Parts: sequence; structure tokens; C-alpha cells
Amino acid sequence: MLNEADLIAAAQRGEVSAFEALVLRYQDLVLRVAYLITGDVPAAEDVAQEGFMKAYRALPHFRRGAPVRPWLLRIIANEAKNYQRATARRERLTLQVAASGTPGADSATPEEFALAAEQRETLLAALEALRDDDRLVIAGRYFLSLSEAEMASLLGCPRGTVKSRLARALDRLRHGLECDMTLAAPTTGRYTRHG
Amino acid sequence: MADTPGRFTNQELEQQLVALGRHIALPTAIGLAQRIHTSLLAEIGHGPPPKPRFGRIWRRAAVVFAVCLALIGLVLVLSTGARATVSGWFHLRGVEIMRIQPGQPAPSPVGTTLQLGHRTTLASAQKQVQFPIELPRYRTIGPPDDIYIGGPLPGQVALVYRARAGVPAARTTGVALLITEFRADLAFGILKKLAFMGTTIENVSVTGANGVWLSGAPHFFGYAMPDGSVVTEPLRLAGNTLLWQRGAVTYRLEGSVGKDIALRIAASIR
Repeated sequence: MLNEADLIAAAQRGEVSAFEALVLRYQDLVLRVAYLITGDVPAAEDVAQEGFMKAYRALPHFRRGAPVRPWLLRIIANEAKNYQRATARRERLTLQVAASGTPGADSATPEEFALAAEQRETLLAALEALRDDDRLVIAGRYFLSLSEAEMASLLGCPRGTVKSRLARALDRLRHGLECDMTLAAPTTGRYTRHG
Repeated sequence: MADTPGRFTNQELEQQLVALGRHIALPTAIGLAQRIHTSLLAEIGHGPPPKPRFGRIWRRAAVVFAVCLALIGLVLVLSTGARATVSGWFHLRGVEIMRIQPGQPAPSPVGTTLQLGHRTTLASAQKQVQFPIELPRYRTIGPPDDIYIGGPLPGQVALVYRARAGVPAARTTGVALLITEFRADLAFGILKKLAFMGTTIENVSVTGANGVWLSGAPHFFGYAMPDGSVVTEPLRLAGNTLLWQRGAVTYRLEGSVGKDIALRIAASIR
């Protein structure tokens, strides 16, 4: 069936509809990456649009057979950073849990559902306390399920650096959670403990 | 730290984060594709689409040119009687090379990507395939100017027609009509994707056989091959395309002709 290489090749020949098929395929990912960096939906939409246009103009330089996602992510990340540099006003990314379903949707009992929801809020609070670049690493890897290679494109660093940055971010997240649990031990002892 | 209460392993933390990720509110693109569509139209209005990569295309053109020259030289040496045929063949290839001159946009997958296999005769092609090769009898269309066999799909026979009365040549290729015949089923599942990409699709009947008429921006079609695999193949002329299937054989007619003429030519193939 229609694969990415066909679409890229057609787009490189100037077939706009093939490029638009790629836009449809990646628009959510691109918008979310832009959102993680800019922290603002309207800004992310502008970045995504301009990023896609830059990708279109960069098509002649796309090496045939190369994966599309890392290429696109690199362009979008650069565009988002440029956007942030150009605008004085900075939004801080606020990660939120989406409106929950009903108890039982992903837990066996209402108690488990409540516990899972509470657990998420605690983790989210610890994430919120992290530095922006730590949150970007964690959100890209675990919320957008980006591969290490894609993370490297997003962060503009080698893959080895992705690993170490991720490890450091997780360490700091863990530290934050532990502090939180020490302060509120009687009500937040819900993570598996090792001792 | 192993005895510290509340210590998580990386694995536990990662599991928690992945689980959390399923609940995080992230934006969804709404209207973005439409905005990009508008921007792209504006962009194209201001100039040609991205230019081809001249370095690589020039190299490829040089290779094609060298191969053409070598073949022509060889054939001319071997047979002076073949000159007329060779010049006709070179005309096709020559157009391909002209098409990728700098500054000219590359609107359709022809030329080096024409990839119709190797040139042959009707009799030789017929020996290599298990279905009867049918030719159009439409008016004065006459025999094809060139016949190819092979290409990306095995056993695909291509009939190439240059311009003739009522069948003008495509401006970019010099080819008026390209008819391909091969054993495969039409993969109608791909129609949804084509519609997505802006191709206009119309169901048609070719003397009782199911077919589709693609116009607008047809670039690919999909085929279910006898071994069960589904493959896509670019449409060579990127003009309007008529596809139909009779028995185990799929027919494809590409050219600059309109639907009525295409259907008449198709109906005359027997």
C-alpha cells in the first residue's frame, strides 16, 4: 500500500497532495511536540503550520529512504525554539489529566479507579515541579512514545545524550516523588516501595 | 538508598509515566491541514514547487544518457536498418532527459522512472506472459509504437503510443497513450487513500467489466498480485487513468484523453 517513501517521492516531484497526505499522518504528533515546547496551544498551532511549510520547502534536501518522523521532528523542534526566542512572552507547559472516564473504565473497582486517579495527580505534581527540559524529555519519551532516535532529533543531541538526559530527568522526578511521600506519608503510600 | 522508603526503580517509574501518558490531555490538530493547504496553494502561486535535487538528478540523467548513447551506438553498429526504430526510441528517452533540465518542475513520474521494463516485440512479449495480450482497435489507432515488458511488476506488458489523430501526446512526455496489461486484481482498498489525496474517482463499466476512472491527481494505484501481495505502482503519465479488470487481467490506460475517448479505446481492446 501507499508507504512513506512513495509519498515523499511524489512530494519531491512537486505533488502537493502527497505532501498533504504526510501532513494528515503527522499533524497530531507535530502539534503535540510543538505544544510540549511552547506550552501553548495557539502557539503550537502556528509552529506546526510554519514547521510543515518549512518541511515542504526542505523536501529537495530530504534524503530518499530516510525516516520521515525524525526529520520532521527536528524541523518542528527548531521552529518551536525559534518561536520562543522571537516571542518575549513565555507560557509554561501545564500538563493536565484529561477528563476521566467512569470508574471501571480502566480499573477493576471504584476504589482502584480512585487510587489510580490519585496516583496520577501525585506523579503529575512531581512532573510539574521539574525543569522545562526535564519535562520535555520525559513527556516526549513517555507521553508521545518517541523513540530514542526521534528524541535525539527533538532535542538536537546525540542518542547517547538522550539516554543520560532521560536518566537524569527520571532521577530528579524520583527525588521529587520521594520528598512528596516523606511529607505526606500517611496518605500517599501508594507506590510500590522497595526496602 | 536501597532501604529508603518510597524508592522507585526506573522500570516502575517508566510504567507509571506510560500509564499517566494515556490520561494526559494533549491537543489534537483541528483545521491545521486546511490551513496548511491554503499556505501551500499560496506558496505554489508564488513560484514553482521545490526544485529537484540537481546534483543527484543530473548524475542520474548522465547515467541514462550514457546508457542511451551506448545502446544506440551498439544498435547502429549492428544494424543500419534499425535506425528508424532507434530514433523513435531515443525520442522518448530524449524527452525524459529534457524534462529534468534545471528550472523545469518535474510534474510526473516519467523519464528515468518510466520503468516499463525492456523493449520488446509483441510476439516476444506474448511468449513471456500467460494471458493473451490485447490491442485496442479504436478507429485508426493502429499498432503501438513501442512494447515493453517487465518493469516493477512482473509480467507487465506496456503498449506505448505516440500522438495520433484524436489522441494528443502529453506535453511533457511525448507519449499519447500508455496501456499496461498484467495479471493482478485491482486493489480497490486503495481508493480511499487516493480520494484522501485529491484524486477524483468514478466507478465505470468497460463493456461490463468493473473499472475506475481516476482524474484530478492520480499518482498511484494498488494491485493484488497473484501471489497474494498487494503492491502500489506509480501511474506513469500522471494524466487521467482508466483501470479495469477482465478475468485475471488488469488493464490500465493512461493518457491525456478524456473519459469518453478512454472508455471507447478501452472497449475496443479485445
